Amino acid sequence: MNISEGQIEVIKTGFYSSIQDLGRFGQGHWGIPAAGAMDRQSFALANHLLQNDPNDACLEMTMLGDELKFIGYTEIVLTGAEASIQLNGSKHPINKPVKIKNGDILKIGPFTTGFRMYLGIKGGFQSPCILKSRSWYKGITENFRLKKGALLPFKTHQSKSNTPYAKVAIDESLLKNKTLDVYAGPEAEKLPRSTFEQLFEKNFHLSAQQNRMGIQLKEPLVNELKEILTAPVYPGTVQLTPGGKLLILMRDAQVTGGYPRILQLSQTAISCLAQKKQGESIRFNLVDTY
Amino acid sequence: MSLKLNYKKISPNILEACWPPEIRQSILMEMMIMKKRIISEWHDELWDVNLGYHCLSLHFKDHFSLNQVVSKLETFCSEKFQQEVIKRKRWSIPVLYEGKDLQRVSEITKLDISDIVKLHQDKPYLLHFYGFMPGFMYLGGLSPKLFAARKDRPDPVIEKGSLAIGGKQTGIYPMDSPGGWNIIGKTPLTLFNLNKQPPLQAQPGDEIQFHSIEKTEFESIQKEIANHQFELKYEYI
Repeated sequence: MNISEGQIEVIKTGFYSSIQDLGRFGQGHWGIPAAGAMDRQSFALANHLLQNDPNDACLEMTMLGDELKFIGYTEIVLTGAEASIQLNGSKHPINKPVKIKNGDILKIGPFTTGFRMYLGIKGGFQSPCILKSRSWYKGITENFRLKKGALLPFKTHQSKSNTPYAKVAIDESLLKNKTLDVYAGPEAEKLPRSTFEQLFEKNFHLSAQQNRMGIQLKEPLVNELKEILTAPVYPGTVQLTPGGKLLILMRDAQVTGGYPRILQLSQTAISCLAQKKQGESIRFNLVDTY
Repeated sequence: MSLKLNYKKISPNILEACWPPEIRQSILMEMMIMKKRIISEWHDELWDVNLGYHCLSLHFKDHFSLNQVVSKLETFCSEKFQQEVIKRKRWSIPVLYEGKDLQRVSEITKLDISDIVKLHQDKPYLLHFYGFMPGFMYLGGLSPKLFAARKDRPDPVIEKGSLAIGGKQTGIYPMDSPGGWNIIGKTPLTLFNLNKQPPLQAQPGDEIQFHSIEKTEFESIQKEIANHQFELKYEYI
């Protein structure tokens, strides 16, 4: 086995891609968002299939994949959304680790199912680690979205024999499931009973207002709640805005907010929501925190 | 202290302890003492302990037992904290009060620009917590005479170091950012520095004292910073 510096050269960018690991924990008290993979489940699967460290950095792609050239030998895996993927012009599978040779070109088309895809690489991407995380975030890391011509460093890896990979049952419900498990938020009790119940009776649709910071839903609620004194917020917090719109905070969310926090998504629900695109419908399912 | 806190289990990993919903220095000080206790008790089990004005959140790495954690917090509440000393600092921040929105603030507040500048640095501000964006201080203590509504149309870029008033709040933009606050001045200092550990020096509970400087001093401080000769000044309070 030989380890030295390898790089991925970005030939063509998709819609929005960034390097992500599990996030920048323990920095929230400085106002620094955790960031990290939007769909942690698919991210974890990528590292698991490559027998990587659980926090190794992957490339997160959104809606449309990138075209990438490999400089150096390695092994990769793609998880999450489904798309037409080509390696040197031949069809390439998802959820299966594949060896990569120097000069290989990976081309990923628009996603057919799901909204986020993870490119895991043996040993993880080696882009700079800032405040104990490699997750890209504007103002913290030099880059925050993938650009054409960018070079992503990795440690090259070449093994003669096939590494035995663990058989893993792929959780297909992640892409198909429309029901999100939620806990009642800290300000939920201030809502009138009928408004609170509506949250679990209606289908909600994802609006175009969405990014790594948050996803706004289309259907408004009647909101008579006042803003709250600025309080901590978390990925998965559902805020009720003054206009009655529901804003679900995602991984890049700021650490405090002033809108009432009416629901809190479970970790699985955050991953599931990260795979939904504009116009898709979701339902909330109230569960207990215990 | 004998406190009656309100506990909310946000998720299997997150607990919030909330004081009465007020912006008060005494609440902040109790939260800081509590935070110190929490970190020494559960250090390795926590991702983070965050503050708002009246809520303190414990973000555990794993699921936690509500009964166990709350009963421990209750013990902390009932203990006598008199000996507990939180070392507080007062940071001195130089400001060139020549922001582009001073005229607008003057029209809203019906005060002369010179009075706005004088009033703004009259008293130190209390740093409650960081939020909104990395390194953004939530400061308490803006004189009600200086309250000035945010702009309807936010500026696309507010430069790093800009000092601004937004409604009932005042603060410094730690990095370039779009924003709707009224710019009244600028500090030459880099308060948020990723090359330093920690990236910020002022802690919640500390005070921020602004003081007016002239353009020449602004430029000489900039030079000192470039030559790594500038030290942020503070005194213990």
